Parts: sequence; C-alpha cells; structure tokens
Amino acid sequence: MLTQLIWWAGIFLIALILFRSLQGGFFKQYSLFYYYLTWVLLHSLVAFMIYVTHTDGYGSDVYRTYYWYAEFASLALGYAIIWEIYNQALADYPGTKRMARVVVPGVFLVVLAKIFSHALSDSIWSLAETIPELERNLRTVQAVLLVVAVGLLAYYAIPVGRNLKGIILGYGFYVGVSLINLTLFSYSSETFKYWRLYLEPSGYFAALSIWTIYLWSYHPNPRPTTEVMLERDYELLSAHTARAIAQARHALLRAVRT
Amino acid sequence: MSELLFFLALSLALLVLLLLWASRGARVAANQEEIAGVQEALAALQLAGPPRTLEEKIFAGRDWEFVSKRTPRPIQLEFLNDRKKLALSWLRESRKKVAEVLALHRTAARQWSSLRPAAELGLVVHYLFFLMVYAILFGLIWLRGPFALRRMVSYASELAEQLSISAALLLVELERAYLRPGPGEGRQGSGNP
Repeated sequence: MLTQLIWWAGIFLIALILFRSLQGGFFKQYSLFYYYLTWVLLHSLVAFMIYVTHTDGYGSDVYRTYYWYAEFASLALGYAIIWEIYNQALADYPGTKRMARVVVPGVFLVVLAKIFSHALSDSIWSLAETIPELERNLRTVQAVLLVVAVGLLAYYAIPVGRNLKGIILGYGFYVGVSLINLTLFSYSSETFKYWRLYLEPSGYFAALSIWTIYLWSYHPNPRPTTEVMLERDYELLSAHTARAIAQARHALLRAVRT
Repeated sequence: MSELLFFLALSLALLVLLLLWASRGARVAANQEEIAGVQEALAALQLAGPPRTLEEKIFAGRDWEFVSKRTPRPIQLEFLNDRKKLALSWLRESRKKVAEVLALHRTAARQWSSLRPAAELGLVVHYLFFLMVYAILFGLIWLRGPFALRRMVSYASELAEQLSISAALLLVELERAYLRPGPGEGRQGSGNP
C-alpha cells in the first residue's frame, strides 16, 4: 500500500516538475535532465499498467523482465544527467574543466579496475553474477563521477544556480541510496528483501521532492564576474606576488647559509 | 565483506559530501578584501615580512632557561601555560593563513584555461602534508609544551614556506596569463572602462 502511494505521488511530482519547466520555459536549459524525467514518467506509467493487469503484480515474469530492461535504460540516461552536471557547472570555469578532464578518467579507471579485479578473482569470469550486482557496479561508477563533480565544485568554490544545485542534490541522493540498497541486496537478498521494497522508493521520492523544490522556477547559474575585475585583482596580486617571491628567495638563501 | 564495506563507504561518502556541499556557499570571484587578506596572509607566512621573528620568540629556549632558574615554581607554570597558549594560537593562525592563500589561489585558478593539473595536485599534497604536520605539532605542544619541540616547529615553518612559494609561483603564472596586454595595448588600457 505504502509503495503504491509513493508510486502515485512520484508520478504526480514528475508531472508537476515537467509542467513547471514547460510553463516557465526552461525545459531547454536542462534538456537532458528533463528528457530523463520524461522517460521515468513513461516508464512508471507502463510499469503500473503491467502491475495492475497481471495478477502476480511484482512477481510476474512480464513485470520483472520489463523492470530490469527499463531500469538499465534509466541508468544509461542517468549518465546523461551527470554529463549535463559537468557541462553546465564548469562551463565558465575552464581551469576546473581541465582538472576534471584529468581526474575523471583517472578515478573512472580505478573504479573499473576495482570492479573487474573482483570479477576476475571469481573462478568463472563475469562482470557481475546477478542483475542487481551489475546495476550496483554501474551505479558505483555514477557515484564516483558525482563525488568527483561535487568535490571539484566544493574545492574550487564554484557557485551553481538553484536549479543545477537541485539536480545534483536530487540525483546524488538517489544514486547514494540506490547504491546502499543494491549493495545490501547483493550481499543478502533474503535479509534485505524488505529494505529494498521501501528504501529504493523512499530515495526516489526524496529525490523527486528535492527536484520539485529546487526546479520550481528558473534560476540560472551565476556567471563569474568579468575579466575586468579579475584583471584588477591580478594586478594587485602580481605586485604582491613579485614581492613575495623576492622575499622567498631571500628566505631560501638565508636557510642555505644557516 | 570488504567489498560490502567499499560500496557502503562510497555511498555514504557521496551522501555526506552532498550534505556538506549543500550547506556551504561559494564565491563568484575574488574581491578587493580577499586580495588584501592574501597580502596579509603571505606576510604572515613570512614571505613579505620580517622572517621568523615571532615563532623564534615563542619557542625561544633561552626565556625558559632564565625563568626555570630564577623564578619559583608557580611562576614557571604560569609562564609555560602562557607560552603554550601562544604557541597553539600561532599554529592556528599559520594554518588559517595557509588556507586563505590556497582558497584565493583556487578562486583564481578555476578560470585559468592553462591550469596545470599536476601543479594543482602538487599543491594539494603539500597542503595535506602541512595539515598533517600541523596536527602532530598541535597535539605535541598541547601535551608537552612548546620547548621540547623547537626542531619540529622549524620543520613546519619550512613547509609553510614551501607551500607559499608554490602558491606564489602559480599566482605569477596566473598574472602572466591574464595580464598580458593585447596587441597595441598598454597595461593600463587592456581593460574595459
């Protein structure tokens, strides 16, 4: 009953978010994100139809097959959201973008190595033994990409607008909760069967609530101040830095002498 | 089991990072006050000021030798307590200033298209090393007082200097990248009105 309630509330929230974006005319600004939401809305409606037309409900083969195919499509579209996050947040910050180009592939390779090393250590090689395990591995890569994105935004103190902040928070929260859920389920599907039933829909509903609040109206990313400001700052900085380097050289020479 | 911990730790790290990130603001650009702050910070790191006078006074063994020989025990204890407070305060201030230098560097570097990731990572490593030394010194001074640790304090000071030099060199490159006048332009005429 509770999961059905969350299901319907979720469908309502997605429709509301999409309606607000069309009404406010900012669908195009975050098009990948809104295409993802459109997909989730259609997927939820189809899943619900399959659920009510089959007597076994969640247990029916049709539902299960549909669920996993649709889940992987959602996961693939989730990468598009992450792409949008990187693209939009770092658009005006070429320095940080350059840093991301080095850090992201590096971390990506480390995570893939970790996942593959586990797969290779098994007697029979496979990327994952079960479908939830494969989904968990793919969610892990998403989680790592989000950690890198948020880490870079925090480290370089990059300001993001309310909308993009909501997209990051909502999707990050959903990925984090999904990963916990899939990890526990992969570890022991029997023990955590009921967790899975409530944890995932709750995480999904929380993400939708975050998106509804943060994407209610259009708030673009703040643009960095013009180069005029930077130029003046750098003139001051450079004058000081030149003095600082001279003093540093002096300090080093003194250290060698003593 | 270790695999379970890896995935759980990663998910929790993501959730905690999101929470921390959401709760803090970000600045759009460095402003005049921040520039002045960095000037002060670099001076405090002794790149622009009289070198090493403050910590040499705080950690001077001669003062303690004099007090320990010429004064009664209660005064010695009070002296040690005061010096300990001063030393810890100096350490905190040093850390704050180094953090300020780095913060300004990041605010400027994020828009620099020729940023060198290796140099950035080098700065992070230097900073982490500095923090480690800071934590060790802070703990030791808090436990044993400032006079048993002069050599280590000098080492921390060297690290702070190294970090400042790295930051200063990067800032000079930033300055070169941004302030290079365009063709036919003087330095003053390169900006908009």
